[in-house]
Amino acid sequence: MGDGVIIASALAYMGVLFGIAYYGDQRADAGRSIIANPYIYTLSLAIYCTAWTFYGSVGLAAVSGVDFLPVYLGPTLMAVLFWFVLRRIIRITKVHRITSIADFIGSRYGKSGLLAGMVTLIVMLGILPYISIQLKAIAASFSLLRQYPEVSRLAISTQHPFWMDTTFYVALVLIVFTILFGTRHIDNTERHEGMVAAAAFESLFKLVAFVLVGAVVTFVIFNGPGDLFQKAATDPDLAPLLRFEVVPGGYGGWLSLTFLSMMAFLFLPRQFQVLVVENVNEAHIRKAIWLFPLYLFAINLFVLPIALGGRLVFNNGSVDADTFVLALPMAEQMPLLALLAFLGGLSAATSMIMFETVTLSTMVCNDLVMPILLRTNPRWLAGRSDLSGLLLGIRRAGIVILILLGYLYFRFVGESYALVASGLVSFAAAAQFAPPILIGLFWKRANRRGALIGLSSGFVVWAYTLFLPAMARSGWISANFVETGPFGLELLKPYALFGLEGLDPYMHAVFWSMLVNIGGLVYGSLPGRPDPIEQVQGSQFVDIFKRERHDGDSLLWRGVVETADLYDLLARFLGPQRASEAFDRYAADQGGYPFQADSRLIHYTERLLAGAIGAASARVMISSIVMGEVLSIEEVMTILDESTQVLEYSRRLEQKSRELEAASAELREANNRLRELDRLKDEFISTVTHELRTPLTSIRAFSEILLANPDMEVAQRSKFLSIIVKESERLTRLINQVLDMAKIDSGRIDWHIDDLDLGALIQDAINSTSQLFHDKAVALREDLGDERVIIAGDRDRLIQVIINLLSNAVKFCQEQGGEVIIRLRPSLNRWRIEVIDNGPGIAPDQHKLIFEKFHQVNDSHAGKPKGTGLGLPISQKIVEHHHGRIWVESEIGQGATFVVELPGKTRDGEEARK
Amino acid sequence: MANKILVVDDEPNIVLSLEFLMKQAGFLVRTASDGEAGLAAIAAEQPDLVLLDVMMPRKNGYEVCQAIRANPDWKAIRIIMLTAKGREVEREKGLALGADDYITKPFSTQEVVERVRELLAEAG
Amino acid sequence: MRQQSREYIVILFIGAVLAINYPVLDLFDRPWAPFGIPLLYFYLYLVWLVLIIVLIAVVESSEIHKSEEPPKPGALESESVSRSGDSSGHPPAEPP
Repeated sequence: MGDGVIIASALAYMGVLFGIAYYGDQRADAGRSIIANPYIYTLSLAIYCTAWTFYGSVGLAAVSGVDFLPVYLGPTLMAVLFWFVLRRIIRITKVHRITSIADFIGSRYGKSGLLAGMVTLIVMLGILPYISIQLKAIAASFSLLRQYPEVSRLAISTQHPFWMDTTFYVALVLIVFTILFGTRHIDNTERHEGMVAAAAFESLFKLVAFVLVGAVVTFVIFNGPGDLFQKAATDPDLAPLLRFEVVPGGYGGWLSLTFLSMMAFLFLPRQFQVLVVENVNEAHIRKAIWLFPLYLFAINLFVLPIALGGRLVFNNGSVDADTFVLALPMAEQMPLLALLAFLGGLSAATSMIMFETVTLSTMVCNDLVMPILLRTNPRWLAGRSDLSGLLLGIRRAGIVILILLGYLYFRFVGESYALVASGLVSFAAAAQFAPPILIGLFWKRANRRGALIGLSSGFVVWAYTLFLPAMARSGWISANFVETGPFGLELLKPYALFGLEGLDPYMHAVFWSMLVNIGGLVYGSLPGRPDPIEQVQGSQFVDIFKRERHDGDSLLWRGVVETADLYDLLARFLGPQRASEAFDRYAADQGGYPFQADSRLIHYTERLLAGAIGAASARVMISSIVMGEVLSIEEVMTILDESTQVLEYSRRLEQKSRELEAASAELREANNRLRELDRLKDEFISTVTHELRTPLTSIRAFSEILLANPDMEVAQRSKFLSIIVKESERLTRLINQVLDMAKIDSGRIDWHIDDLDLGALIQDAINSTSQLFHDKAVALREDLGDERVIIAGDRDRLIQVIINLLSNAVKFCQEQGGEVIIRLRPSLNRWRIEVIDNGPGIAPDQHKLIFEKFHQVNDSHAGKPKGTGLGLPISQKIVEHHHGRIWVESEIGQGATFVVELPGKTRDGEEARK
Repeated sequence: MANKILVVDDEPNIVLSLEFLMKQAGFLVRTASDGEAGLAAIAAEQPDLVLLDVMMPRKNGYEVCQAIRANPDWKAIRIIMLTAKGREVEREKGLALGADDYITKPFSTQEVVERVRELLAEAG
Repeated sequence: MRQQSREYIVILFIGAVLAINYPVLDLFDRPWAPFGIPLLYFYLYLVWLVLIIVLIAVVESSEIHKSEEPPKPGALESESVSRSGDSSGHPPAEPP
């Protein structure tokens, strides 16, 4: 394939990327962000997958089998914890306008410039191998592809001078693009929407390319995964790759690799940039929690098939396994697929390099160069009115230097090292930031001294156990250093420090560096009292979700400064235009600004400045112009804690009042129930009294009449006497009913259960009420069937029920043409007795109530209640005791049907139980 | 001329006893068994005094009492409420609605006759 | 996210760590190949996929709690700024 075609398509691809980035920036400036959605956010996270993933995973799988997976399982595990860890970091970053991981660590530990600078240095050194492998990957893939249709193993020669070296030109092109993408202007939030959009596109592109190659290898070159794995399993060289035994370091190595990847995923500078700084909305995390693992899953699906396919196709070892992704399509004469694979690898490498170097150059500028300039050359700086140009210049220079350093590392060191190995060295460096950040997020007392001790010792151990041996491997240091230790000191062998043998080098390095890092942090933090600013920052970071004011750091000074001075300061770093925009915004929010700046304006300015030059430098700048007394730490903490306490207090108050409300609602309800019961009882007593008094009235009246008229006619006398007798009977009945109810209620009733003929029982009840029907001229129709129905029950009680129903029916019947029907029907294995009247009917809402004690259908037109309100409740109790049911079916104006359902006797003569 | 008395109650035995007592005391007696029948009887018979039960179907005693007092033609009619509910509130309610007296069931026959006589004497 | 979802997530994390490490992983290092795919790979990818599906279920089923909503960018700015001048220590009048 001609160089022209490859270069043209690569440049065209970069052009498209630039277009996307440009469009993204335009939209961001117009306030209509295209990256403000969780999908773009998730895709941008996938810059985690570099050329290392694209080429290196396959290379690794081809020799170590499943060993490539922990690098992706780690981030998957971290994604599970996003909600706890990442959200916290993002919130802190937004509140404190943090611009990078160095800034984050520096800010946490009292806005320490020293720590931020140290982080920057570690990152620079640690990341160089990583950048260099990206360059190497681009160059290697280019060299391979240009030989198409030949496929051969080739060492990228570093023999010829650099101006004849493809990699050099690749580096130059990348420098140009990175500067164009990443340093268009100084922003006070240090966000790059265009770059994020481009990165998202690149993530999508490399995924498609890789999956496509994988699918072709699996399904076109081979006949599906079954065929591929079958062939591999029968090849004695390849069979071990399908098992765990080939993983170097075994399960320990596997675990340490997973841990390293977890940490690196969060704390590699570019990852911190896209995960945290470029995050538009915290809510996007929710989607990313599962979508990002899904991306990783997809891009890893075909790693092993490609690796095994490559080993099977190039079985003589003629092709470097790191290039299988590209070499396989070439070997199969698929030029377009090969080109796609090349561009996929290119996109993986470029997105990493661009993001990493832009991030790094910002750190170098904010946390390394500016602090030094501010401290060593303040006068020179003061002489310049607009420093934003200077900032841009420093960053651009940083990009140039970083990429060139990466190139140099590649040229002089990286040659000998496989992709994965140098990537892991960088991972281990990034993992050094885990203790100061993660512990700093949850432990207030972690202080600057501890962080400095921990980080520096962790870094030294990292350098000694991983970085130097890597140099040794490439021949820059004597190999004896690794083999026998420095100066022959066995105890100091970098891969077996203090005689700790048998561990895989990465696990060994992770163990020692984390031990000294965490140990140093804790050891350094325990004694002594931290500075005020350290205390304030520690407390603000740890309590990020609890506090509602985040300005403790600025409260520390209550100085005197004129607003104009603050403005000048800001204008020098952001440029006059952005500075005046910012001050206008402040004036719009606050209704103007004072001549003498107050602490809120100072805080505002400091945060804007922090966005441009980092927290530590911003603090130095502000303190250089703010004069005056300093608020004591006690005062500041009191202010902060007060707002925390108020928050906590009001939260508790709210909860208390909610509980109270619920309790009082319950009380109210109970009270209402009691009052209703009380009312019912009162009414009952009143009703009973009334019912007792009525017959008593007649009895007394006639008795007195008889007493006063001893010589009354015999006929009249006996009439009056019979009234007295009847009314006495009525009184007795009533008293019995009340007593019945009381007995049933208290369970002190004797039941006499016998076999009963239900039909005969009903007939008895009819007989005892026949007088009632006759008196009221109500017709009774019987429909009892011919069958002899035997049930078990208490005869007297059941008769009582039916009499009650019949007399109720008579009472409520129409006065003219009143008719009552009584029916006996089987219903499954039960018996139904129905008593139907043609009275006024009962409204449905009363159907349940009429069975309640004391309840009577209150109808003003019905006037006087027609009973004690006890008949139906007693009946219900009796029926329920017989395992039956009683209910009413009725509508207003339709008459009423009372139904009693009783269980029949089963064949073996036992009472049917429910 | 003998005074005319109307007895309104839904309990036939009580009506019977009162009717006997009033006749024996020398009054003319008319009876009714519910509120509406009572009002119709008042219109037709213009009684001097009404013995009125409270708990009755189709207009209770209170309603009948109100209706009597609402009619200026019936201003002179005396009203004695009879009730089996002995609570003080019932009594007050009856008096507030314009009843002249209030007798609790069961009553003393002598007392009823005396009260009726007293009221009619007052009215002159 | 509700308390319950948080608990699920912690459990999920611990479960996932256990599932992909020794000794559980060792149980699946066998020469068997379900569906023609070596058991070790089959198992690892299966765990991965199940983890993702459970994550979807947990995350998408839980709504954001009010206090967890991020502050609006503009509001955050003006809010914290407007209170920063209050150095006299008076607490803000009302809780958020």
